[in-house]
Amino acid sequence: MLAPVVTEQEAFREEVKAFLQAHWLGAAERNVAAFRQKAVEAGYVYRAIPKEYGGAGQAPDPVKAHVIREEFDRVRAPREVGGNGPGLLVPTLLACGEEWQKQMFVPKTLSGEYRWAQGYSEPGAGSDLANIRTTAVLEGDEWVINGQKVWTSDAHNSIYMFILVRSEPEAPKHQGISYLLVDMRQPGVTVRPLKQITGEAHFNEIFLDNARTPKDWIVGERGKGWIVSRTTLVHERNTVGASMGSDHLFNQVLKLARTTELNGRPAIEDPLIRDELGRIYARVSAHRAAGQHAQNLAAAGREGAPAAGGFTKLYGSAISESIGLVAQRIMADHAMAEPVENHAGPGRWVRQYLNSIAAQLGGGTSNMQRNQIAERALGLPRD
Amino acid sequence: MDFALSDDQLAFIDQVDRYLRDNCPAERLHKAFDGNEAIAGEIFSGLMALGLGGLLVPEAHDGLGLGLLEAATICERLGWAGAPGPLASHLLATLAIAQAGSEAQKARWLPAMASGETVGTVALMEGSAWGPEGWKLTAAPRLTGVKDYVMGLKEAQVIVVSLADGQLALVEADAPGVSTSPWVSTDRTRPVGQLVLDNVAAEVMPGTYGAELLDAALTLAAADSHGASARMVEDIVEYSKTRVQFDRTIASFQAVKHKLADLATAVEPNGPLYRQTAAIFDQTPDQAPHAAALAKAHITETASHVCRIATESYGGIGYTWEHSAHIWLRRAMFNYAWMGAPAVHRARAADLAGW
Repeated sequence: MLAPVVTEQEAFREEVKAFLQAHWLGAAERNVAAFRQKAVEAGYVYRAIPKEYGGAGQAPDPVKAHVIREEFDRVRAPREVGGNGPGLLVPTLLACGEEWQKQMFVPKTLSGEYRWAQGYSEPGAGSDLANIRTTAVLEGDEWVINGQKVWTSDAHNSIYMFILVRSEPEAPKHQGISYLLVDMRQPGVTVRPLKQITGEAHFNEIFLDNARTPKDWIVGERGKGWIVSRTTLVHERNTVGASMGSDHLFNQVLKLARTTELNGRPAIEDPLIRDELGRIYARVSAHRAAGQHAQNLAAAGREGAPAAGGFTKLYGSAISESIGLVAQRIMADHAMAEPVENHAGPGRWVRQYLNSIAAQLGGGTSNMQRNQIAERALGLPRD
Repeated sequence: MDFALSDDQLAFIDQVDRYLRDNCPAERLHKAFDGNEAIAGEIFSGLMALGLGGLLVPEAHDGLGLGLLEAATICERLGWAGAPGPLASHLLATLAIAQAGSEAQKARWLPAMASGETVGTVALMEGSAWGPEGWKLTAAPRLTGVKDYVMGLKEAQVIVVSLADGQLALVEADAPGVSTSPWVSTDRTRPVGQLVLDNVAAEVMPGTYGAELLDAALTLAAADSHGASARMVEDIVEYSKTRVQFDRTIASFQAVKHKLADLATAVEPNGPLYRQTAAIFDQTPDQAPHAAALAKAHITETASHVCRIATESYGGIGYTWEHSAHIWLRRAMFNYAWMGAPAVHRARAADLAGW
């Protein structure tokens, strides 16, 4: 059974390589959008999305998807557009949206023309997301929205927002929520940057003061927004904890250990540092093997573990924290440095450690992941 | 690295698994644990009847000709079941003879080992020395020296003894000058002993396979530990759903739920890790020393910790002799220490990675 799979995979890899050689100019490429369009047409990017919405319309094939990722990354060719739109909104629209909504929003979101903010969390609705208080009232042909959102990533770069609102105040908590699409370019929407503990501002607070959106800019039915939003969150969990990030980060900290002197010799030679790096590397390797296993299962059409996304996020985000800790041990007194973004010095690692907290919060906190694993994978009673 | 199991492999493992589930119920494990030696022999015979003796024996010598991936997967199930008996050390002996033996040695031993008619084992450790650099014995031309912590010593008729420079020799257990003494280890389901060789006739095998045999042993220990830890998590999860305190099941307490979720998360990726390690051994042997050192270090350490926490999570009942938790806890503790402790192999993995 194994041999033919490998051969097919290698043949496909050659095909992808040939495509990249013919069409990707590397760093010299000026027209990234045009390249991406060619990659879509060749079937390599946005594979799962139907052609009529700007995708490649390919049958699911995790082995091919993996080969594409490896080959594109090898030559640093761009794949899917980042941000909330392609990763979170598009799958939700494809699963729950009206036909005209898909036509109107999906192609331009995939091309990067439309960027989206995610309006979920509120000051009183974090892990208990269904506790949202932002209201939407239908007045004629428009929803009128009032309230406050927080931790809305990328809002300062976005023109649209997908948002959870309470539209049915009399209904029970989970049944009173609707999922709306909102144009952010209007007076009722105020975006205020939210400064993180690193000193940067990648998130925002959003104040909604009689903001308006058309009546039919609702995804799914009134009061069904909670269920609609689950499509999005499941997707987020699967993407946040992937092992490629751990691998990359580990190689960086290994380089730090090689190039930093500790007690008169390279830190990598210190037995305690070496042991800790070995412990972390084993977890990175296990995480990578688990990812490969999940891919093997998918390729064979078998089911993965229930709550697999929960496992991988909890595991991966703990690795990120450990790497930040060992970096501080390696740097000794330099670990007192101010965190700095996009910098090669010690501040970069101080920032990485602080940011590892975000990895344990975003997309569902570690304790929420533990609940999910306990309830869905282990079958323990719900809280 | 592709380490997916085919439908045929899964069906075979499933058959072994069903046999182990039927034949390793708790009361039987406890009897074996308390010194009933017949049970280990019965289970070994049952596994031989399923063809497991020939797992690593080439088809030309009446075996199945499979690889370490299949052997490790079987060892995981042994660990899961808490199975008593010397299957792992028998498999390692067949591997050593198949890979390092002369044609005559293979023809003499392998068919009988494949059927289980002859039981084999490997004698590797000399005190705490687990690897070729620490092995001092030489067969020049006769063998004198001591090997420690040898599994299945009581059952074995043929013993693969590792020598200096990674060579391997075959010793017959009933040869003059061979004596053995049991060493009471924490894992009573898989007794070990000391092998004393006093001017014993030994056949040195032509191939040099000591280092590879070490990698295989480390991988199988990791697989066994993974099985033990996975079983402990399954069992404590089930217990937590039935144990009532403060008028509710303890599974409903978030302190318990989160702890069990953490244990499950620690265990989850270790199955893929040991299978990948075994596949590396089979397919890209030059990378096997690093992979095996890393897997042994990480999985036996994680498993020991998980079994410890799971045992504690039972409360008082888990601390009793009559409860089964300590059977797996001790198995994991044994695997942790056998053939070199985690820290040693972690340091080795760092060296091998060129750090």
